[in-house]
Amino acid sequence: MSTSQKSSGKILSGWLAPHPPHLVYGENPPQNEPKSRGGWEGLRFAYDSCRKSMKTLKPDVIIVHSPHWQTVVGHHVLCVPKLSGLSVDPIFPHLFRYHFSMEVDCELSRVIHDEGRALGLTMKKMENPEFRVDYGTIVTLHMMNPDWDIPVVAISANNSPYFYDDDVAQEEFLKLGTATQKAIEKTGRRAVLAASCTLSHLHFAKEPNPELPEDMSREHVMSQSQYEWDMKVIEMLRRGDLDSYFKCLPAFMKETFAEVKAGSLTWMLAAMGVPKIPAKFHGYGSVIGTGNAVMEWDLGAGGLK
Amino acid sequence: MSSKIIYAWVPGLPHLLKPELNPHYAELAGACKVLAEDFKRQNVKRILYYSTQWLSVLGQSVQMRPEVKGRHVDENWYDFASLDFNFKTDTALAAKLIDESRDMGLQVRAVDYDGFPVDTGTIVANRLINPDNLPTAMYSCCVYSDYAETIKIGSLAKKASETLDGVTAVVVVSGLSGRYFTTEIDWREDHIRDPKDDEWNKKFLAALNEGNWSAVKNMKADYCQAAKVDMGLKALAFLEGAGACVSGRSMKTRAYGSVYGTGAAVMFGSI
Ligand SMILES: [Fe+2]
Repeated sequence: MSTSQKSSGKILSGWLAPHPPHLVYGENPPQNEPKSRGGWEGLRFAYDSCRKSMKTLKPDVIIVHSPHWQTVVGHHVLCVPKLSGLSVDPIFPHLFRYHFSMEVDCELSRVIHDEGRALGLTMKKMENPEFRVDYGTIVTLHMMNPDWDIPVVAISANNSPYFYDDDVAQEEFLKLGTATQKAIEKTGRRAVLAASCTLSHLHFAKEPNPELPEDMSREHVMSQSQYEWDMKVIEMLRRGDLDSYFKCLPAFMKETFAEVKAGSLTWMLAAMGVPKIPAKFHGYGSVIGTGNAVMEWDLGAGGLK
Repeated sequence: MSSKIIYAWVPGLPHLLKPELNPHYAELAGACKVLAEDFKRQNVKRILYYSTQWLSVLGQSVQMRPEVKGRHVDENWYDFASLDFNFKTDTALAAKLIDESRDMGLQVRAVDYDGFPVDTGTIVANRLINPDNLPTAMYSCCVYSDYAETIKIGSLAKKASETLDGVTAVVVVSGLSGRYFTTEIDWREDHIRDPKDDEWNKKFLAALNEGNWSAVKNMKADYCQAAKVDMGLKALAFLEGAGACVSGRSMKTRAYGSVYGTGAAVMFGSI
């Protein structure tokens, strides 16, 4: 597809699409080496509607923003037409050793890069063909589309909020969203977005049962207060009350170490024009105590059906 | 049987492998190469790495794969950092590290996986200070182990090393002040981003050079906060536990400079 032939680019939907590797591990796809007895079904099955939606919508591209590709200098985009290899999660190598192969929409990547620069952001194209794609990107994309038959774009998470302060770079994530939206429009893509992040992010310091990581009798929310924070935020998103969401975001990040701090959700909401439509809730579950929700902003339907 | 431990501190950013970019990188890399010669003179048998770039979250990790081979592409510096690596693990030391960790009540994982992403820091350090490919061991930097627990981990590393014959080099791979540039810079103009960080780094290094451990202890918290020191100086905690920071010993600065705005030094423990 070339930029010249297109004029009807648009975002079809956006997904809050968390990436604990446990979800892939629990599913036992052929690409993942470790095998399990299952686990985390509540969250895994929440992705079913997303998978169906990808089959119905047949988007040109899925664009994902991942907190586990942390970059120090600016925002980076994958820009190699085909990337493949073995991605071993450095934190959970016993759960996630995934043979990935993805087609990257490099033309769109380049335009996102250029639009970001035009807005004053530091942007970079990742053009090393041996790059090992991070597990956050892979888990989210696998859970959304295990057939990998839709091209992708992956955007890194600038780590300034973690290194400097919570509110640092939040403005940049808004600009990055705008740049992404403009690029989609310019290239004429029918795009689906994915904010690859967990909500509350305080978690266990030890694996509850090292002999059986999928021991669901040992899985639970980290704390009642963390759970209540998640529900409060989910409620706001379900109501489409983004004013309240952005207002409470600093406290949410501070009190639950919410992974939205990495900017993925802010980027996605900005790209969608901060849509004050109800987000559809597909499921919630904890993974080693963290709070994860699968939610959908259906821009075509205008919200909750 | 006789065992001995020597100590070193090296930076782990891939810029050191590009000495032509900036004199600081060249100087730091040069000091690492001198370190390699010291190791040879000291008849070092194995190197134990503690890198602040190898993070673990659920407990501790120890590299256990006999041969760790591959090519690592850095997630930030992929333009110039496609790094081949080939580590020969000292499995006896690795097994001791695991036993000692368990004895201390720590949850520990033996890492033995093809394709495991060894961190950039350990690879860079190993390329510079281990030209003869001596056997190595690697202990992760657990995000949730605080300074005090990291001292204990250093002490178990000492205990494990002392069960083996010959000289073990305990090498921490870490930066100093952590304030990096957030925009693209001309490599030739790399410098410590904040002059106050530079002052702090120098003050810290001076105390280490003198072996003035009470001064180090007194400045530690303020230094970490003021200069955003890499992983809250856990590298020092590890060295402390491993026995490098006792009266009569010191850590001598061999080189000091900046890497992308952060502070970096090569240090060698007095013998
Ligand atoms: Fe994560």
